[in-house]
Amino acid sequence: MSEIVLTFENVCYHYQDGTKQVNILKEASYDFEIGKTYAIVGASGSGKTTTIVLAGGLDSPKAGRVLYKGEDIEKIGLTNYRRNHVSIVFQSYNLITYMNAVQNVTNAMDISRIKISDKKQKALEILQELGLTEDESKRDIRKLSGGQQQSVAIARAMAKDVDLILCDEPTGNLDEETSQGIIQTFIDLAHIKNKCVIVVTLSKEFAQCMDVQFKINQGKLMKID
Amino acid sequence: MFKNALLSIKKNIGKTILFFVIMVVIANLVIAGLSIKSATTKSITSIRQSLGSEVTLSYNTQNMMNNREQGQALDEVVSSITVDMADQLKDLNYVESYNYTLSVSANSDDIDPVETTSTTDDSSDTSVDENMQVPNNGDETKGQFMDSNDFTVIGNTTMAHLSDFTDENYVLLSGKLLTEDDAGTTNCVIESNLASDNDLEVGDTFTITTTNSDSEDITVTLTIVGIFEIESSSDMGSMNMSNRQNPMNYIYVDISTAQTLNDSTTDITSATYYLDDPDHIDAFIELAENSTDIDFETYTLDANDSIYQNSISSLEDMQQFANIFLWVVVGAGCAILCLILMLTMRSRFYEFGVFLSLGQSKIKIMLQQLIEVLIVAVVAFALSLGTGKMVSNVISSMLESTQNNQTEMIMEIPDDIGDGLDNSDVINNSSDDKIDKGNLFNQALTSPENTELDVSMTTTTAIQLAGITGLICIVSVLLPLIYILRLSPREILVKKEG
Repeated sequence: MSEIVLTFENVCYHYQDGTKQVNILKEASYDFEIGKTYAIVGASGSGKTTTIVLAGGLDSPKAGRVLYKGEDIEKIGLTNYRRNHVSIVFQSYNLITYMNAVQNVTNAMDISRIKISDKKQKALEILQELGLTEDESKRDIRKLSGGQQQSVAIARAMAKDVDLILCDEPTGNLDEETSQGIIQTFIDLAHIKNKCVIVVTLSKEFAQCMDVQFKINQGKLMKID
Repeated sequence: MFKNALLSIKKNIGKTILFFVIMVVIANLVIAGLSIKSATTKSITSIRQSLGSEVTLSYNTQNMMNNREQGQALDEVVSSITVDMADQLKDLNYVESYNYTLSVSANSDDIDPVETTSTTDDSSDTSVDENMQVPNNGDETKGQFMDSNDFTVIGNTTMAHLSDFTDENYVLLSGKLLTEDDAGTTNCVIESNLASDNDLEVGDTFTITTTNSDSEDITVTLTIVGIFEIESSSDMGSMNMSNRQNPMNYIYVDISTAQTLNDSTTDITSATYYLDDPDHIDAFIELAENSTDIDFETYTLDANDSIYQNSISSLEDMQQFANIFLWVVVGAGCAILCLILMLTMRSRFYEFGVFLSLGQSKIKIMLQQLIEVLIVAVVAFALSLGTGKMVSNVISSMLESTQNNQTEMIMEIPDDIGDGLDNSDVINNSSDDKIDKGNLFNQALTSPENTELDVSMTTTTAIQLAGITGLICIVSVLLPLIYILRLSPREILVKKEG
């Protein structure tokens, strides 16, 4: 049996809309394993992004717990957890615009305090692996295509060398061909590099490429068989 | 952090230049405020040091004249200052040292005076008793003794504080001045012309004689221990001056010798107290009035600090202006920088969200922002060290011209009020402020310490500027950042999306 890297244990999340309480997640529970890819699908506003936010330690559940390898991430410390145990890839890439691709990747390494003698070389290698040339890697990040920018975001996630990679609609802004390349990258990360990749997507095609698919229905995480 | 800060500064050059310009303006204004504040403080200290802090116990001339009946002789209304009275004050708080003075007119069979005129007409002087003295600023040599004696014997506790010597109007040529160590001796200090006219040198002796109220002669043999030369004197040059009014015929002795010659061990002419700080003058006078039995209707403690007070009030106004100016600049600087940073940070929500999602701590995000602002501030600071001097000079010139206008207005005192006053004398009658101002402002303005405000940059000013600039940066960065970073990473990312 594969190692469980992330556990949702009766996780509840809601927000106030005026006097009305809007429930997003209601006692959602599931174990996510290393070496697998997961897709979470659902209608807009169903709670897909909230699931990624809670799994990524960007917010805390109103009830229940999120466990990383059996330990409550609140106990690990959310900042510490985000720094050392999880990588998040956003739909809008979330790159630092005053840094080039290499600097974005090395910056993530610096924050995670990864001890590599030549971080720049390592960043170039990862970026090259994802299809960026050295010239592109040193170019103004705003002058790269959407696909290239998403590759940089994935490179940044890979550079942190963590077990858990969370992606919020990573191909939402990309064309089909580029999307295919990105999907393959995630599959390789899970199957070859033994990561747990959880992807939120609206695309059924993308979801079908993942090992396990979930649907969020009425605040519950429901596995699609 | 430092690397990221440099990258951010480089990439956002427009914002950096805007910051830089604002920081230079703020730093220059801060320098101006600090320099003026520092300059006024220096001037106040300098004036304090130059004017000293003397308080003199003397007759209250105004009360004395008010109490005098028409036709009454002055000696009937004058009460002498006694040693007992003076001793009550010498041990009070703030007193660093003191000097008792007693002036006595005398004659000598051994020496001849330096003749003031070829035919001395003393007849007009003989009608007033020798003890009839008009007090003045503690400098009894200027007292108007009116008798036929040729010499003025001036007894002092110490000559160390005598203004003619400290101002170098009189310069010691040989020997020494009298100090407390000469107490009880018959040592004396005489003028060089008097010495040369009588072939006297240090170590020589001569006798001096006075006559007491019973018409008995009192003779004392004095030993010369010092000879001084008169470099300049306001007491010389009067055509009607008697021999004994001529400073060349002044004989300085210990107070006890003067008392012997005066045939009284209790009376003195005045007592001067030297305080530790001019700021303590009022406290000392109040203390004296409360803790002694001296009748301050008859006697008065004269602070001689009118020049100081007049000079200091305008400087204190300027110092207050500098303080307000500084606070306004700091406040406005913080507000402007906060506003700009808040506006620019709205566009950096995105960046903060990314850093937070990568696991960067909020403290480090704050530090990076602070470093960015501080790097710009350091360059602005360095530039301002050069330009600040110019700004300081411009502002201080403006302030000085305002002060001078005020001074000119006060100086426009009708001529007749000032007429008849000897410019060299400092008038001490506190009730006559108009007359005082005529003379005192002359002196205040001619005093070198008060002619120009020294707004030069000092190390202290530079350190203060660095501190204030740093403070402005910290407040300007922290206020908007605390507002942003109190949010969770999710909220920041959502705001960024919005």
